[in-house]
Amino acid sequence: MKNKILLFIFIAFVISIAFSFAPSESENAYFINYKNKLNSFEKLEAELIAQINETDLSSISKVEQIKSKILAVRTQFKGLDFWFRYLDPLAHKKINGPLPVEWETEVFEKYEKPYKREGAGYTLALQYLEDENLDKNTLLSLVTQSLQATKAYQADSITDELKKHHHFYLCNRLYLLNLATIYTTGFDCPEKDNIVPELLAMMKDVNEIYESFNQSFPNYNLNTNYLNLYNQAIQFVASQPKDYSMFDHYNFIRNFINPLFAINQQLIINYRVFSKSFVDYSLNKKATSIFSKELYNGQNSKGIFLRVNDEKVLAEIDKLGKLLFYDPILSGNNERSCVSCHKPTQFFTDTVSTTSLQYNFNGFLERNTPTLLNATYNHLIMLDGKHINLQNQTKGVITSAKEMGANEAEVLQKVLSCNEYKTAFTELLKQTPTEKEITIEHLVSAITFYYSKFSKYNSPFDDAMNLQTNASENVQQGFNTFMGKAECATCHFAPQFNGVKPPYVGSEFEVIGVPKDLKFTSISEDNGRYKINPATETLNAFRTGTIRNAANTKPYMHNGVFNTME
Amino acid sequence: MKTIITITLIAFAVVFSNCKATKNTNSKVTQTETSQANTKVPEQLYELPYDSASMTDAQKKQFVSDFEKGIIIYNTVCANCHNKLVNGVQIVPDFSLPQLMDYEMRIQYPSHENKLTETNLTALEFDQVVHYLRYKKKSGVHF
Repeated sequence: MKNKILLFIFIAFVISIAFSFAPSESENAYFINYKNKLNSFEKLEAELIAQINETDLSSISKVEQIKSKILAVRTQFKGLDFWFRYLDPLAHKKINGPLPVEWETEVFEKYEKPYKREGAGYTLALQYLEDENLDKNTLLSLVTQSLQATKAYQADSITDELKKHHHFYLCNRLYLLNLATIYTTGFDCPEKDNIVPELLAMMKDVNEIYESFNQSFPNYNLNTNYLNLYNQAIQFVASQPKDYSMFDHYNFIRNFINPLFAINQQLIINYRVFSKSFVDYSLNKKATSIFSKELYNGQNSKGIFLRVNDEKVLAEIDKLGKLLFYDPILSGNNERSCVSCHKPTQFFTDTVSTTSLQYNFNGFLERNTPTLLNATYNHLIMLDGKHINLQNQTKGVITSAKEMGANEAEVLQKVLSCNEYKTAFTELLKQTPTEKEITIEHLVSAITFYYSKFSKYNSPFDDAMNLQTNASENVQQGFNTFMGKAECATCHFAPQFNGVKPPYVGSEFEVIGVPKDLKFTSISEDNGRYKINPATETLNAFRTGTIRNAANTKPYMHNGVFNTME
Repeated sequence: MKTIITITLIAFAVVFSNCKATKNTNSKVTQTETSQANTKVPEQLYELPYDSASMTDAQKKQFVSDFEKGIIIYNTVCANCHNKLVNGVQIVPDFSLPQLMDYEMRIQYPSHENKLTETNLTALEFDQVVHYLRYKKKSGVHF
């Protein structure tokens, strides 16, 4: 009897211990939601692979069945995109990357030699199904790689992140940025009919994620304002026509996504959220609008003076930068200055010449002068991404035999032979204690600081997106066409409308076949990015520039072939 | 009006540049002239890498130059939080190699989030600080 009592006590003890360590259902809701979605997705992927294995790809109707299945898999995937895109961006690209081959030149990678990444996943699989001669192994490879990539999301390194609140608000930030730039444009959904249905399904899935998060993290809740507005955003999408070309991007971003972004940013600060991911490398916690010039750091415009914050000193650097910008002693023949091509009265470009004159008037340069306005919002500089920072670009022009025809030592000597410059830079040398003497870096840093101050997001459109004014009906329609039917926004991403897309850590290059001239008989012979990174995919590719101020920065394209936007 | 301003500025710049030297040996300006310290790093402050015997003179010069710059940047950006006060003396602690994971340092520690941005410390400067912390003589005080 005594033994039975002891055994009963022991069993009761074990059970109570087990229960005390097991998290309650509410604590686990978020994690369970993740696991359930992930497991269902993996199961669906496995089913797809089995279906492909059993299918005769010469039958059109069977291929259509595969296509339907892939669409179903991708809709399921959209419910996980919230986590996947942030927690492992590389695996995410293997599941639904839009490109068969990518050359990565992302923010910190710009210090290394570019390297190639082969694409895989459902977007590419759907495109492949359009081919005439389908090879089962190729199709299987695309989807099998995707399944393998999905397994990465079961790893402890990722699931451990889910136990804290930090990742959630950073995932959400990226999600909101992509709602404003990618999910509504067809960037990763080439089947246009599916853009709006997939968007709606995704938003509803994310609402479930929000609910489970709030259940599991009561001290770090998404607040009622946010949830109410988000539900209104879902209703807004549900009320939109299924035809993606009719989608009202303007009001969707202005009235819902941007205000949601502002609340999320505030919660990031309130909940002391911090990042351990390179995804957040350039994003600024303090930006309260997607249309804020503080949203992301592209370039360090101060150069060597980067830690100078004293307004008086900065004013002095600015003054010197302006003088140097106009000063022909930076050229070998003392006849050319930065302003010879980048005319401040013409939006810091040359709106008259197709391409500018070469040094000593020896013909014309190969490429059109790009505007310096907003150059600071690029990760790689020059149309071929030759330079990793603005200061190197300035030095590159000064020392180019075709442009300013000087050398660094000579320019430095000429500048310092002028007492006014010498006195001013000598005073500034105190601001750069690592440097024993004035160098070319001091000069070019002053120049980049000077012209970068003109890079502002202060257009009427920015004001409208920040709810300070409302844009005219024409502007709204133009923006909606830009984002939808015209497909401009699949390369020119908000807010800068250049090739830097969320999370704003890299510059995109595109091959678009710019003609040599207006006869349209051949494409430009300029190899573009190929000159920097020779690869089949980079031939004739150019960095996607901003279209801000485009009305004032003619001519267009790398060779200035077009004089009007039409 | 803008054109007039542009022409005026160009004219001013040309006048300003009339004092350019063809060859002016006095044009070099150093920190010494600006009365700042132009110290030379004593050899006892650093430990050369194990393969230093194979280093060229240019490599050794670069090694010392980066070390010297690393000290200055460390003192400007890092010392305030990282130095340890031992018996009233500020000590630069010893960091292990995993702690000196270059780019990763920018994001792995919450306190670095706002301080180690690219707009406060360039990639080159980052390398120089890591170089200094890696090759400085050990203080025996661990971080």
